[in-house]
Amino acid sequence: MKKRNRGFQIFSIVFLAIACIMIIIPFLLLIISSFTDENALMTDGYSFFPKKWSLGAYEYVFGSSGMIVKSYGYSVIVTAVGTVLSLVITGLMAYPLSRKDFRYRNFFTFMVFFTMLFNGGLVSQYIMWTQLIVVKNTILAYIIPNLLMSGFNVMIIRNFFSNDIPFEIIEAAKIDGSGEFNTFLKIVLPMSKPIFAAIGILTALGYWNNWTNGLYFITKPELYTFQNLLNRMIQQVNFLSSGSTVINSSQVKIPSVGIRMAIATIGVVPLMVMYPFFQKYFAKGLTVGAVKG
Amino acid sequence: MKIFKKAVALLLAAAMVFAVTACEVNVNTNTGEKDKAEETVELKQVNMLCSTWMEVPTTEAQERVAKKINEVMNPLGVNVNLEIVGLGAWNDTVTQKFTSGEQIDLMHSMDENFPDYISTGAIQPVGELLDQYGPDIKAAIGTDFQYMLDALTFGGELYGIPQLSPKHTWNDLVVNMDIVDEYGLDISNIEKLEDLEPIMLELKEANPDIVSILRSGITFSGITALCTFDDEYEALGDGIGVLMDDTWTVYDYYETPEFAEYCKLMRQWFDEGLISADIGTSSSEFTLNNYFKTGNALWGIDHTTEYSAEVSAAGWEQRSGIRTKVLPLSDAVCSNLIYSTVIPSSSKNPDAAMIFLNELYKNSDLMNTLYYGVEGVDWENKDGFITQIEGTDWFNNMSGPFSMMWGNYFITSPTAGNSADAITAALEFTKSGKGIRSMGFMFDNSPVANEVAAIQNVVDQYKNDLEFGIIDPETELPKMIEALKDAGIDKYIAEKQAQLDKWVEENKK
Amino acid sequence: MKTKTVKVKKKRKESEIVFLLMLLPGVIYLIINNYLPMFGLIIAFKKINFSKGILGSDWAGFDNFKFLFKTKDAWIITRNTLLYNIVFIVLNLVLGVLFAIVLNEIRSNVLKKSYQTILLLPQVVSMVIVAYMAYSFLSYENGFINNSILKPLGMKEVSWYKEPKYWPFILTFIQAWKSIGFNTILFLASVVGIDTSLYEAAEVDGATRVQQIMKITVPLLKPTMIVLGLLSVGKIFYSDFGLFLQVPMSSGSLFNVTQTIDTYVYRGMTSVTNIGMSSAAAFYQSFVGFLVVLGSNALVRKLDSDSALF
Repeated sequence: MKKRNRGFQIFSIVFLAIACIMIIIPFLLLIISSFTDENALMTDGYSFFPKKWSLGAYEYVFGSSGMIVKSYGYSVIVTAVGTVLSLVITGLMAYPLSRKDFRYRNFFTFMVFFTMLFNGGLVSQYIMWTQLIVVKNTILAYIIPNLLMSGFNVMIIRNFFSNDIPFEIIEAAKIDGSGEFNTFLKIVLPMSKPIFAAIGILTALGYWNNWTNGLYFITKPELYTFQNLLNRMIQQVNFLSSGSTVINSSQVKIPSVGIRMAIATIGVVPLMVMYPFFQKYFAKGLTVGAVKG
Repeated sequence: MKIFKKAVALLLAAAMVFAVTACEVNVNTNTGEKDKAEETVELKQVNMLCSTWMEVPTTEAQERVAKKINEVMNPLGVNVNLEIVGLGAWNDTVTQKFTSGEQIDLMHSMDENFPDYISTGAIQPVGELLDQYGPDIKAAIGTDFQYMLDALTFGGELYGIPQLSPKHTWNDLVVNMDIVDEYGLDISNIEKLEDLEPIMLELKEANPDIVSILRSGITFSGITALCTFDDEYEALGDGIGVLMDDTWTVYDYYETPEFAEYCKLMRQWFDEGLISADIGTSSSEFTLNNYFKTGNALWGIDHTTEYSAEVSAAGWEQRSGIRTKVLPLSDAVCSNLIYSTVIPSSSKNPDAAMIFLNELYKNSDLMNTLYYGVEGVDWENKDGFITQIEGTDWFNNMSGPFSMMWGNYFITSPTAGNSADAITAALEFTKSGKGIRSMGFMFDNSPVANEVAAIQNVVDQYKNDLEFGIIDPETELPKMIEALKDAGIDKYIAEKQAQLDKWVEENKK
Repeated sequence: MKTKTVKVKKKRKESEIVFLLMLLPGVIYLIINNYLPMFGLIIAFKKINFSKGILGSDWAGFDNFKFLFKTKDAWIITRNTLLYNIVFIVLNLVLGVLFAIVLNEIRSNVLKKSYQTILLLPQVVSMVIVAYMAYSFLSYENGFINNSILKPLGMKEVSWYKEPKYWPFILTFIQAWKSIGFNTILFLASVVGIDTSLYEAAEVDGATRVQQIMKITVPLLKPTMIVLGLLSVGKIFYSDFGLFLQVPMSSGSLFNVTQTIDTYVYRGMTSVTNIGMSSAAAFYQSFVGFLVVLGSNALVRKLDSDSALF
């Protein structure tokens, strides 16, 4: 490698450092306020140096449901299985669409793209996944509806295939007698590592963050994923604060400020810790089978 | 263009496939039902859809309670199946189930949804079923609560069964007595909203850090405060077209001089620094209880269904840990039923549903099971009080997953921590109260749904800020009124007036 | 000669079969998950009656659409939705490219990974939480900015939730803050994929790093930028519901700059049975987005046929 422009190096490091600090600061305030005594929060306001610390919010969150660890397990399984499945079917779909010599390319591309614009809405999807194909109250409910393949990801991967993989290489393989699928597996995939890594991360985040599938398709609390558990707490609070006439609100115990912060912290911190490992493992997984990278 | 044609063709094909499969689905479910029916001989399935504001209990707990309920119900030929949904997902779930035609035999309805359920054909009339299978419901309702039944009657048809529990709310001022004593404030002469001001100013002088006026719980609104001091006011549901005097004239609430006066007073308080600027936001920090816990708040206006001021004050003390006093500001009236029970159109066994419901109005043990769980597992009977057994997840935080949402609360046993006569006292209190004048009128806003959407947006934009004095009513109130006119408030009021007149003619007076 | 064309044709047939087989799982999924449920779109044209079912309900024509255009607000919500989206689309592209390039410059692997992780962090929190994070800074009484910055400096406290003038910037900032990681990652894949020999050649020619970026990297990213741009243009009538509803904490004073089509519909739907109207709104948003995409795609095809979506 040639030596690169030093000035630009330093600029890059500093620029990103500033950006990262701006991202981190709100999280820091979030984490600190989750450990702040609620009364101190109300009287002194949000601060990086609270006058009084407290674990109260965490006691509530962990105390109210002993299911957090289990739900975390479900989240990990759903994310892992879902991401792999999703990448496989997305990749398979994207490749033919990237081939300019494929006759039905435009038709199928449009078919994918159309789904990004129009959808039939929650109700009809609910009917589909509860009556035609029953996924309700199974772990499949977290993996299949809506999340398995998104038009967006197909388009992005297709775009990478057609722009970053020279058609000549594919042609050459063809002349060598390699079948289309073989070319895809042995030549195209290894060259597409970066985009699969990127889409993989985004898909994984999508699975990790999703709570709507659980909301609509899961009625057994012991099948809740982590996000479902936490979002259920937040949802209840939101409903209570919507001012519905139904509830004589003063009689309901409302988890308040600090608890939301604790919920968010519990959601973020483990991911901060896990992410680098995940990334490393992920990159390794992708290199398996790669002839040249 | 070619692509477009192809896409259209594809869509059509998809639609056809769906039509076919949809038929198949119907056939399938039908045969499925048959199989089930044969297996369980003549037990009729009742799917009961419930919401809870507590945590949804585990499947194990749900099954335990359902089994206990079915021990009572199976001999009567009914098998009950519970489905519990968190309140956060309730509205979506109900819409999904209605649309998909999934079998629900029994669910509860909240007042604000009730007219919609009827106008969209989501629920069925229950009058005949009640006559045939609900003698004990009728007995429990008696003449004392007849007005509740009237309230659920629409165009001569009964559509719901009132849930029986204390429904009478009264407005009150919850006062932090620690502060009152510390600063020697005189609270003996509070009669109107204006009387609060000198006391708050005096306190502000003495200690500017103490927060004076707050939302009670999270639902405090200016309307609550106003009707506290005005007996004539009736919200007629959404509080937009309201009754303000002893006639049956519907007024645009935001155009009334009372509302203008109220906003002016609040603006004055805001200018005097008695109201925080953040209060206009939807942040849930500004609840009375949160501030009481810090010991840093003077009072808040609240409305409650407790049967006495002492009981209400005791509740506040237990929650916030400070000494409180509750000053009643109004008589107890029943303005809304909160929960009632309905039978959706998708029910396959409405008769069985009514048989089960009937039990909920006479069988104390069944009600205790539904509210608090299985005796010996979830709770035990200590000297006549239901006492939670630690470590179960049906009965939590002094409450089951749906206390006061189903059946007859007045036949349950008191829970630990209450007085022995808590239930009978609550019953007496509820019997002695009366329904408001417009009790039973429910506005069906579907003819003006377009206007309601626009009006609701205007209200959301201005109401909170005006009611807390955050914006100046001198300039902003006229803007709001004009925006409401644009949104079609006149058409809305006319529709409401027409429905109200028709209702008055049919029902009374 | 003849046998050769036959052979080529046969080969082409084979390829096509392979391609179709590869498409099969995805197509099946799209049909089940997306196309079949599209019958739900007809709800927008129905006066729904649950006892008759969706198909049996009476037709309502365009009645369900009326509320969208009823008031003067129709102009404000459309303007807000469009302007915010245009700003967001441009900003996301620019920032995404910038961050991807800059991130790619960094040679230390540890630093690179840490930066990347941090940039993705906001992606993991829901908008509700973001709203509360924003609130912890902006609250008048308790907020960090008022309490710990403005007050100690002797400056006047700002009542953030009352002042509409700050909010276009606050919302834009939060949007960028939240989605920067996502966009960076998408472009990073393309940046990493660029053949290094191109840079080496440029370096031999004496091009500076910045010149290399402007002359090599950015042009090579153009297709990705166009695709991402086209994809987001389709959503131009949608708005991030959480961002516009939750972050401003429903403060009425801010409605003129925070109300979008989605929040308007949400606030207007007072009951559970208004699905006709909410479906109508979604249909309208999709349909306009669809037209805009068709238009811009045609434009792109004219200028640069390779980059067009279809």
